[in-house]
Amino acid sequence: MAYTLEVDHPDFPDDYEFDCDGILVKNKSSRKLTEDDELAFISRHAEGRTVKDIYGHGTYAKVTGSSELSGAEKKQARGKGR
Amino acid sequence: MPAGLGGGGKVGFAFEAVMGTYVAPAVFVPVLSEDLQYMEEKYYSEQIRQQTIHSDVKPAPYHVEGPVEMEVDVNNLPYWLYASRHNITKTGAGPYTYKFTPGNQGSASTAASGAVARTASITIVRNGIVFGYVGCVVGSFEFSVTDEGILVVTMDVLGMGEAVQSAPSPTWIAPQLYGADASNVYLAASAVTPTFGAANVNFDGFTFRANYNAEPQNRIRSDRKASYISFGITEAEIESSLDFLDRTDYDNMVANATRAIKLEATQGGLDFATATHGVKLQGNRVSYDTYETNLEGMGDLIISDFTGRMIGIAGGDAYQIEVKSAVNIA
Repeated sequence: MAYTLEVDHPDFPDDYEFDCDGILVKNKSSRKLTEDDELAFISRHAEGRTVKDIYGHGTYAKVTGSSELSGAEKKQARGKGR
Repeated sequence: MPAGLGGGGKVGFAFEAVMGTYVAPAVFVPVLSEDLQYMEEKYYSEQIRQQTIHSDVKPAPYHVEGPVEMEVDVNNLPYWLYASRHNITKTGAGPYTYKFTPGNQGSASTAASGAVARTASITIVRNGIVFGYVGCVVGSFEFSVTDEGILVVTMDVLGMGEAVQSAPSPTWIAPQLYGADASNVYLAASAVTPTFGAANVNFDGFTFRANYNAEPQNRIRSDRKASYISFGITEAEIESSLDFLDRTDYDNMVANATRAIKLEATQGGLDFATATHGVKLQGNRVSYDTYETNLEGMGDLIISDFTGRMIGIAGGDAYQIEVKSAVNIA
């Protein structure tokens, strides 16, 4: 599982790229965030806010998903049969 | 929280669906500075009770006001001009051309949508702390060209109130600024639709301002915020300096003859009609209030400084601001 940051701004053309606190996302598209993206985001905020804190309630740019690993993902990470 | 720097701040802007009701930012505006402040004159009781110091304090009505200074960027300029006292037309299918002409409204708009003046919520984050200003209008503005040739604007904002809000979700786009290769100034006879010829290459500085004499109105009710923002007389001016080469416009001032003056700023200085984005600041009927020239000193250029007042013209508008932009305001 990972966060996905989606931008959908009706006032701007589709090819406009938005800088969402350092994460670039084209309008009307989304980007799956890596762990590095999340850590870089937190490091840019003196108050230690996460991408979920800032974009969890966004109107035009919002984050969905979770940074937690699901049971299946944990199993996969541990390797088959364990 | 450690100390913060201005550069870490952010300013967001959104139109309000209900005048004075906060809306989280729709666009984020790169500003050069802002000074939006809470304005209140508290009541200090002067009861006579064997003491000569105020004995109590009560809150008074308040409003918010202050300037927001920014480089002109057509990705956000139309939003600010919607929040002023303008009549608005929007044409095109991308890029869109917004034409703003002076309106006569007595107070801030209560409209929720459409090409009409609207109130705005302005969100400002200072050192991570959020201020949500509501019921905001642009009470006056001033465009100018800096010594470096950059077109900038200061919007003087008046708003009904302020309250803390949750941290906004910023979305920034690449800047589209107008530098020394962007602007041209034109002069013509005043007309509803002036016929401008070639650019006048003698201008040194250009200021285009309008003041709607906006004021907060506080009515008796159990809410200390302003009830609304009113507008007064529109005072619109163009101010500039240029090389003094002939008597034409000095004589125009003396003879009370009006002129049309325009500044166009487009990417690369392209003609406004063919450019994909740009700004046009145009006074259709400008009366020279002052037109001064002198011998400043042995080594000084002979320059004219003038202030022109933009006034009404039968069948047209005193001024028009056109903004060509990819932004599609619904």
